[in-house]
Amino acid sequence: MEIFRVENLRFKYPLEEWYAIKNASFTINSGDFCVLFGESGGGKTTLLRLLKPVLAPKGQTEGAVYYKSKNISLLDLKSDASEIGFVFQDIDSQIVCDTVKSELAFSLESLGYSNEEMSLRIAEVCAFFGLEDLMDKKTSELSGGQKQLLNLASVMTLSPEVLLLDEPTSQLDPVSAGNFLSLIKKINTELGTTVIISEHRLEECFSLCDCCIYASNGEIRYFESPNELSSLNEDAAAFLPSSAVIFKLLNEKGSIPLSVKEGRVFLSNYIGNGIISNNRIEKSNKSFEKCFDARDLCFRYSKKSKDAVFNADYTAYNGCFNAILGANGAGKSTFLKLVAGVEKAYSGSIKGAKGKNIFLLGQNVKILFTKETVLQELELSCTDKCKIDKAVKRLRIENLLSRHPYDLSGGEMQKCALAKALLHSPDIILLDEPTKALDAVFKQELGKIINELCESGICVVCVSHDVEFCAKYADVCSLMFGGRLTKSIPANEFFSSKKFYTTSASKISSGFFENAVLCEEVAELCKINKSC
Amino acid sequence: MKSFAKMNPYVNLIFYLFALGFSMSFRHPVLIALSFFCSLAYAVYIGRKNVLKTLLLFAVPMIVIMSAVNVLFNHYGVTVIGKIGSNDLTLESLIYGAMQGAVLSSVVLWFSSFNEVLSGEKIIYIFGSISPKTAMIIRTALAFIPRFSKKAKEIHQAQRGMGELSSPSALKRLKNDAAVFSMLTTWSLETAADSALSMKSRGYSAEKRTFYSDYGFRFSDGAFLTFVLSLGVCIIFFASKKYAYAVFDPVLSFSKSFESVVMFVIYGAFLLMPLIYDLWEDIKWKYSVSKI
Repeated sequence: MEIFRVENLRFKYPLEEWYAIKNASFTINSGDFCVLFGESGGGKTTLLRLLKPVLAPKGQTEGAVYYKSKNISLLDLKSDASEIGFVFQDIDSQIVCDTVKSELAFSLESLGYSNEEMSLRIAEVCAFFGLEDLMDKKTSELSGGQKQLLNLASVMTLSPEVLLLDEPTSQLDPVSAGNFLSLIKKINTELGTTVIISEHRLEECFSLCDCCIYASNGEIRYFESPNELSSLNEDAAAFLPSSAVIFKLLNEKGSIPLSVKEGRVFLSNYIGNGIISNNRIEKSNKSFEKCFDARDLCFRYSKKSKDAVFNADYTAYNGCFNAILGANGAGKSTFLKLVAGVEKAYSGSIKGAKGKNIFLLGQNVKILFTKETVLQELELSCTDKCKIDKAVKRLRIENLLSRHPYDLSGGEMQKCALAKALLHSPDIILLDEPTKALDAVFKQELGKIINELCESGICVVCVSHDVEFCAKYADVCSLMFGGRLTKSIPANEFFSSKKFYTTSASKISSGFFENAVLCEEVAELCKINKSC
Repeated sequence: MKSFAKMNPYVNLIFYLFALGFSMSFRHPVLIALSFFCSLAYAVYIGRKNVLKTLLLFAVPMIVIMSAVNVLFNHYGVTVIGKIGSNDLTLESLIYGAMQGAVLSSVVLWFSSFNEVLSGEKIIYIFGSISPKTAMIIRTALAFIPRFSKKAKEIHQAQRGMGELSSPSALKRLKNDAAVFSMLTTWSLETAADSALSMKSRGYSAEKRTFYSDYGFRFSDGAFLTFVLSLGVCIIFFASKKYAYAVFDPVLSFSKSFESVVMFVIYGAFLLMPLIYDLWEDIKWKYSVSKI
C-alpha cells in the first residue's frame, strides 16, 4: 500500500531564483525503509520537510504530495503530529523539557492524553528503547547518543506510521550512530513503521534499506532498490559504500555489493581460483622532522575523577598530517586541549611546542564565529588585506565572504574556520573531529586542503573517529585508548595491521591482499591479479 | 527520601500551609515553643545537613537580637528590669521580642524541611495540575539554563584555543567578551527557533494540553489529608474561642484553662504528624527488612 505519492513536486524558497526541489516524482510504500542521500544543500532537508505539513518551509510549491491518497495539505494538526514523526539533526535544540520523563510525555501532553494512557505509553516506549536507567535523569546530564535516543523515543510515544529523520546521526560518534541506526531498523522491521532517513553515514545504511532517493542540486532520483545504484554517475560515487565503489572502479555490471560481506563474495568471484601473484601495494614513506614531543602527560578534570589522559607519549611531525584515532572517551579531545594549552596537565611535559603558534579548532566550529559576516570575522583575526586574500583563495571561500557565519553549512563553516586559523599564521593546527557533520563531497575537499596545508610545512594534528578519512589523507596515524597513545606509524601500515579498527576496503580485501586499505588500491590489485 | 516526602505534593503543600500559617499567627508562648521544637525535630529527622548551622547562626542570634531590639525600643509593660536614661526596660517587651525571634526561627526551620519535601519536580506538578502550559514553560526554561552555561563555557574555550582571549590589551579583551556575548544571544535565538519547530512537530497547540505526572493519590494520602484537615479545623476552632489567648501589654497574661491544654496537645500532635508518619513507616520498613 502506498503511503506517500509525490507528483511533479517543485519548490522554490522566497527570494531565491533557483528551485530547491526540481520535479520530484516517486511513491513510497507503507513499511518501506528509504534512504535519502546526496551532498548537503542538495535538497534533502527541504524534501523531508515537505512531507510533514507543519514543518513545510515557506515558499512556492508546485505539484502535490499525497499522504494515504489524500493531499497532504489537508492533514489536520493532530494527525500530522501523531502519524508523522520527525527527528531533527541538532540533538540539543530539539529537547524541550528539563527531565527525561517530561520530555517523553511532551507529545502526549500536547495531544491531550489522560494520565493513565500516558503512563502506559511511556512505559512501553521505555521498555522498547531500554531507557529505564535514564528515566529519573535530567536531560542535561545525558550524553549525545542518549539525547538522540531520547528524541527518537519521545517521537515514538505517539506510535507514528511514518518516521522522518533528518541526518540524525551526524553529531554522534560511530558507536552511538551504529546503535541508533540499528534501532531505526528495529522500529522498521518490528513495528512496520515507514522510515525515510537522510544520512551521510552510508557505509551501513544501504544494506538496511528497501529503496533510496538521491538528491543533488534539487534533482531528485528515486531507486526502487539499492542494487540499482550502479547506474549512478561518478559524482555520486562518493556516497556509496566501499564495496560498491570497488565494484564501480572495476566497471562491473549487475547487482552491486553493498556491505563488507557482499564485497568479499564479489572479490573472491572476481579473482576466481587464480593465484594471487601480487598482493602488495608499493608505498613510499616520506620522512618528517619532529615538531613537538609530548612526554608522560597526565590530566584529569576534577580531583576525584579518573585520568582522562594518562602517561601519554606522542610525537608530532612538521609538514605532516598527524592523525589520532580512537573511540569515544579515549581522551582525544582532552589531549588536544593540553597541547593547545587550554587545559594544564598535572604532570609531564611538551617539548618543542613553546613559542610556536598553536591554533585549536574544536568540534563545534560554529562557536568560533562572533561577527555578522565571514569577512568581518576574518578581519578580526588579521588586519592585513593581502593575507586575508591569500587565505580566502587558498580555501576557496570567495563566495562566502558576505554571508552570516551561522547560515553556512557544516562544510563551509569548517573551511572558514580554517581560513581564520591560517590568518594567525600557525605552526601547529589542531583539529578536533573536523569531518563530524560533513558529507562525502566536503570531506574530500577538506582532506585535500589539509594535505595542502601540510605541504606548506604546517604541522596538522587531527583527532577523528573517521577511519575512511584518515586512511585516505593522513600521513601517520596513532591510536588512543584509555588515555594513552600508540606510536605514530604511516597510515597504510596502521590500517593494514588492524582487523576491527580499519577501513571497509581493508576489511573487504583482508586475506586477499596484504596492505590495500583504500578502494582504489583494492581495485588496482584486483586488476593486476585478474590479468595474470 | 522519607515517607512523607513521597506523598502526593498537595498533601505536603496543605500541611505546610497550615503549619506555617499557625506558626506565624499564634502568640502564645507554649504554641510558639511547640512549633519551634517540632520544626527543629522534623528538620533533623529528615536529615537536613545544616540544621545545626541554621540553629546556631540564625535561630539563636535571631532570638537574642529581637529581644534586645524590642526591649530597647518598646517600653510597655509593668515589670521594670533596668533603665537607660529615662526609659524603662521591661520584662514584657523582652519576652515579646524573644517570642518574635522564635516565630521567625520556626518559620525558617519549617522552610528548611519544606525544601527537602517539596522538590522542584513537585512544585512543577502543583503548577502543572492547575495550568499545564505554565508547567511546560517552567520546564523549557529549566532545560535551557544548563545548555546556555555549557555553551558559554564552550565558546570561551574555543576563543582561548585560538589565542584570542589572551590579548594583552584590556580594551581588546573587553571587545572580545562583548562579541562572545552577542554570539551567545544569536545562538539562543537560533536554538529557540529550533526548539519551537520541534515542539510544533510534536503537536504543540494541536489540542488542549494535559499534564503528565506519576504522583498518584493513594489511601495513605487520603488518610493523612483527613487528619491534617480535621486537626487543622479543630485548632482554628479552639483559636477562635480564644484558647490561644496571649497578651504582653501591659502585663503578661496567657490562657491556661483546661481547654487550652487540650489545644496544646492537638497542636503538638498536628505539627508532629510528618515525623510520626516517617517514624512509623521507618519502623515498618525495618521490620519488613528483617523478614527478607
